[in-house]
Formats: sequence, structure tokens, C-alpha cells
Amino acid sequence: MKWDITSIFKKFFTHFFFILVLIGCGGDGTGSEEGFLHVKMFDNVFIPPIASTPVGGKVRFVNIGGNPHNAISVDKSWSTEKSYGNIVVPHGAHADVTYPEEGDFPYYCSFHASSDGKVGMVGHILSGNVILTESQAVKKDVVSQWTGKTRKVPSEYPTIQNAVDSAFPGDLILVSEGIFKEDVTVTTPSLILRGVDRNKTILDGEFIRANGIMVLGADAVSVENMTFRNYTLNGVYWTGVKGYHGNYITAHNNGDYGMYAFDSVDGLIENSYASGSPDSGIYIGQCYPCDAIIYNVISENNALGYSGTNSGGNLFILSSIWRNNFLGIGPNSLDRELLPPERETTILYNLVYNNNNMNAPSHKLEFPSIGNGIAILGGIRNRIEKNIVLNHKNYGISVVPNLDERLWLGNNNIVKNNIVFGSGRGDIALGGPVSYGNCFEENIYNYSSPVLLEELQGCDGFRFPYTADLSSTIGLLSLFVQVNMGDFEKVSYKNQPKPSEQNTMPLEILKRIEPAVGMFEKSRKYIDEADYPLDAKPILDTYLASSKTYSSPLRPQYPATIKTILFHILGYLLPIGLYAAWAGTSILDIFFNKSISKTSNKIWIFVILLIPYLGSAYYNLKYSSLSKNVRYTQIYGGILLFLGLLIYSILGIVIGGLPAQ
Amino acid sequence: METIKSPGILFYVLSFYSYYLPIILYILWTPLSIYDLGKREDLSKVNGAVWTFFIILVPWLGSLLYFLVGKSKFSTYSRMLLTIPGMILVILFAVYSTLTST
Repeated sequence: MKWDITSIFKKFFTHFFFILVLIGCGGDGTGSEEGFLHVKMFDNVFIPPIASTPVGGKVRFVNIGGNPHNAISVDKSWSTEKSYGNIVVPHGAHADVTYPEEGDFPYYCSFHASSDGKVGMVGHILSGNVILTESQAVKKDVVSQWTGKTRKVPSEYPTIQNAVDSAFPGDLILVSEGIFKEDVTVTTPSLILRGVDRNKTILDGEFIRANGIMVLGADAVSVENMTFRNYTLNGVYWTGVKGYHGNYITAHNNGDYGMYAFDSVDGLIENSYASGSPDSGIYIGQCYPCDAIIYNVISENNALGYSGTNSGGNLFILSSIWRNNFLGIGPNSLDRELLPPERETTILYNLVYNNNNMNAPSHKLEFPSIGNGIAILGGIRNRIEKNIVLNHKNYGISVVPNLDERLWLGNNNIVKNNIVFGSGRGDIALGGPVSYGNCFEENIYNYSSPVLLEELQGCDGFRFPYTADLSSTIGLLSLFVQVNMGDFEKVSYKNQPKPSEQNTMPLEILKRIEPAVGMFEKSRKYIDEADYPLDAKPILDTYLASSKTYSSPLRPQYPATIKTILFHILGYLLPIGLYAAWAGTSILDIFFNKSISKTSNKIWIFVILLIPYLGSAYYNLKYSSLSKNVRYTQIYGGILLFLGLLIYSILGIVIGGLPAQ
Repeated sequence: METIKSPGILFYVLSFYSYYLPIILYILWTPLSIYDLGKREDLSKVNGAVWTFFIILVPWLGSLLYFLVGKSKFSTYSRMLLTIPGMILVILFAVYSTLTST
């Protein structure tokens, strides 16, 4: 970690919680909320390898691999060396590059690729409206029908990659039983890659290969009926495509995501299973409108069951099971991807339970979300309806802000008709410091945080601006700081439990051989027909029959370390206590202090009531007849305690650095 | 790209303040009313205890009623100043929030 005083100050101020909200006010997406492109440098690959940015846009290269990396333009016009100041961008560091001109900018890592940008760790930044000129990525035409041609692996082609390279749009690539030690890149559109048996057709990364199948800008590719395991990054990865379909996929023990659709629209992920990923099992991110559906999937033992950064617009998460993760479902807004904020995701008829798994794998940023069912992290206009959410140590369904470069606020979200029980700190929750338009209605639950949430923030009629409760936000912040300080041990994705056998593709679906064209329109019926997963009712009944159907506002944030509790006391309770002490003593003093005139008495009461903290602090220090010792202790002592916590938090974030993931 | 509407900084400041206003009123009214009770010599022990319980057990309303009808020794002006503006603000915030809800 480089200690450079300007950057520390910069971080100090960029993370100053309230200044951010009140001055930056970035949270709700006012005006131009563009975000920027994030290119991750892994060992040894850029993700995403081809990425678009608007002209003038910023691209941040972040090294989250173990090796040293860099990014150098093939024409040498830019490099991370120029912007970072060193040829090596070490683990955890980042370098920003901006692209003022339109064009295709191929680049490479000088340690891991040839300098012509052709072999090894190479990538492309597409600035403005340009398409790739590289021959490998020339888009062939999308076809909507199967050509009738089947290419068999390994009987006709020794490897899947070999079959993919030989195929034309609309071909079926049928992979027989076996373990295939490959990472497949698909650049031909409309292919159907299918295994003959979901549990026996296995692509294995052996913890050395990056992605099971990477679909790179090739539209309408369907991946079906296979297992992806032990990849250092993703099981199946679609990037920059229109049209994608994942069906009867199992993805487990992969080092980033199980199924990962980035910068891609018009998709369907169904009947699939994802486990053991240190980010999310299933991810749909950076798209608007996404026109995508997730239907009938199971995601467990991941950091996040579902994560969707800056995605939304016709995005539906339906009839699925999310359990034993840190967090079940977590749509979120971040600066580090384009198209913020996250918005308009509909979460309907899901079963979300037991997401308290301390043994789930994680990178870093994910951990603070532990113990939560569904959390809208700084997203807007989402609908969370008719879900069953059970047994979470922190919150069942919550709307909270998300902190990145800016603080993203969760606004205008609707939480309605859900059944939520057994959440440690609140079945439904709204986190401050501010938000607007969130509403909670007709949920069946025991306890809300803050209390009376449905009564005061209903969807119709009477609304009190009841939005600033900081208890859940402080809880998140405390975990965020502790994670950055390295207080929790990270668990590896490599030794997560292996899934049991999953249902293989039924005969009637095997007969359907179609490229992934118009997936959203084709699967609209799922939205109308959505219902609870079969497991939902029995699990709810079992849960209700057990004695654990209560929550308590007195429970500390989970995991309740001493720091977590101190954060709650100093960050949440202390400010209220200080206000009480300062204002109470000031007003009593005014009533009994004969040396102040009657008129200024009345003015002072007004000042103390209407200007929180400042009014009473000023009166205490300047006019109060109480002993100096008591006054100074309650004013300066109180401020010092609070500042101590604030400085500790900021140091925690600075020392740890912003989490790379 | 669509522009996402925001209610503006004033709304955020007001809603932050209005969330804490009831808490502020509660933590002001409760000790002040009990302090006043404790100084009174005109009340019977039973009446004093009943008022104290009432104030402790019924947040807001307990001390509010004490200030308004409990013959507090604070001057009328001070009692009104402590209670009326706070209540008006709470009502105003509720009306504003209801009208501006999306």
C-alpha cells in the first residue's frame, strides 16, 4: 500500500458520510450519474476483455490478481504506467485512464502478453460507437433457428473449443459425458452448447483456468445441461451480448461468479443451480433495460445468492430459492460500473431463507451483507412482492444506502405482500440517513426497523418522512470497517460443499433446440405464471411450527463483535444521548438562570429546539451556569467520542483500501 | 438516457430532521416534565406518582398532557413554546410528506 498524503485526504473526504449525502447528493441519481468502467486484472486476464465506454469516459484498471499487472496501449498512446506512475500496478491498486477520442484501443499487459496485443493477457477498450475490427470478433449474423447441424464432442471434435471454432451460427454443439478440462471462448453467435447429461458433462477449471464458457460479444448463445466447476473466475460468462440463455446449468466452486451476464440484454437463466462463489451465484449487471428473467434457480453457499450491479428495467427474479449465502438477493448501485443506479428489478415469489452463512466464500466487499434476506443496496424503483423470507440474523427485507465513491440511496422501492419472519433485527427495514418514496405495505411480519414502518411509510395515503433511522446503516458500516481492517477471515471458494445431483434436462425440453433469440418475449409467460417454489410452503410451515418466530430490536448486528456493539453505541445511540443531554441541560438552565433576560430566554429555547446540537452546544459553552467541568465534558467529550469513531471508520476504509471487488 | 428525478437537498435535510424531531421532542419533554413534577410541593404523593408513571409509560402524550393541563410550574409561555411549535412541525412534515409521496 502506497502512503500518499493527497490520496489519504482524498479518500477521507470522498468517504465523509454526510458531506457526501448533503453536498454530493449522488445517492438518488440526480442528473448525470454515469459511473465508470471497471476493468479487473486477474491472473492473467482482463475482465471484461472487450469493454465499451462513452467518449471521454474513465476506465479504471484494478489489479485483483496475485501477480503484478499493467495495461499498455498497443500503439503506446496510453498506459497505466503513465497514469499510475509505475510500470507495476500491484495487487489492490488501480490506475485510471480516460479516452477523449472515439476508437478501438487494443491493449496488453507487458508481463503476460505479446506487445502486438495478439497473444496472452490482452483486451480492447471501445470508446464511443465503434465495433471491433479484430477478425476474431467480427460479428456473424444471428439466426433464430437451429440449422439442423449437430457437432459432437469428443466423437467428431476433440475439444469443445474446437467444435465452437468450426461451428456456424445456429449449430448445436453436443458434448457427451466426461470431464472437459477447457476454458471455452465463444465468438460465433446463435450457438447452442449442450451437454448430454447435466451431472456428467463437466467442464473443470482445476483452479487454473479462468472461465468455463465465455461468450464474448456473440449474441443469442444458449448454454444448457452441463456442470461448470473449479474455474478461477466464472462458470458461464456472457459479456456484451443481446440474447443469452442458461438452462439446466450447474456452476459450483468458481472463483468469482457462477453465472455471469455483464453488459448483456435479452436473457433468460432458468432451472439452474449455483453454489460456492465468493461473489454471487448468479449475476446480471450493467444493463438498462436488461429485459431479462431469472426463473426457478437455486443459489446457495455463495457470498451473494443474486447480485445485480447497476442493472434493471424489465428484470425479473422469479420463483427461485436463495439460501445459506451471506445475502440472498442484493441488487446494488456502484460507481465502478456504468449505468448506475440499479433500478426497476422485480423480485417475485422467491423463497429466501437462512442467509447467515459465515462459511460462505467471499472476496471482501460482500461480507457486510451477511445475515440478510433481500437487501436493496442503493437501488431505486424496485418491486419486492410476494416473497417468503425466513430466518435471517439481521434483516429480512431491507432498503439501505450503498457506499462506493458516492453514497447511493435506495429510493422509491416497493415492498409489498411478503411473508417475513424470524429476522434478528427487523423483518422489514429502512436504513437512513435519508431516502424517499420507499413504501411498505401488506407484508406479514413481526417487527420492523424502525418500528411502525408500514404505518408511517405505506404505499398510499398518509406518509410521515420516516426515513432516517441509522441503526441498520451503522451496522453495515461497522462490518465494512471491520472487513477492511481484516478482522474476519475470508473463506476460500475452493473447498465449499459440492452440490448433490441436479435434475437433468427433461425430454420435452431436449427436443427444443433454439438459439437464444428474443428470450425475454418468449419467456414473458413466466412473469404471469410465477408462483412459489415447491419447497416454499413446507419450509414456511416447518418454520412457523418451530418457536423461532420472533425478532427483537435489542439484538445487536450479526456478527456481534465488540466493535459492532461499540459502533452501535457510539455511532447510533450516542448522538441521540448527546442531543438529550445538551438540549435538556440548556433548557433547564434557561428556566432557572436569572441572569438572562426574559426575551432572550425565549429566543434561546427556539434556537435550541430548531438548531439541533449547534444551538444547545453554543448555549452550554457560552451562557450556561453549570460548572465548566461538566459542560466541557458533555460537549467536547461527547464530540471527541463521536469523532473518534468517525476517524476510526475512515482510517479503516483507507488502510484497507477500497475493496477491489 | 433518462434523467432520474430527485426531490433535492432540501427534501433530504427536512426528512432527516423530521425523522429525529419526535425523538428530540420525546427526550426533551420527558425529563423536563419530570423535573418540574419533582420540584412541586402542591401535589399529593399519589398524584405525583401517577403523573410520573403516566409520563414514563405514554411517550409524547404523557408529558404533552402534563404541560398542557397538568398545572406545570413553568410559565405558560415556556410551556407553549416547548410543545406547540414541535407539534405543528410534526404535522407539517406529515402533510408535506404525504403530498409529495410518489
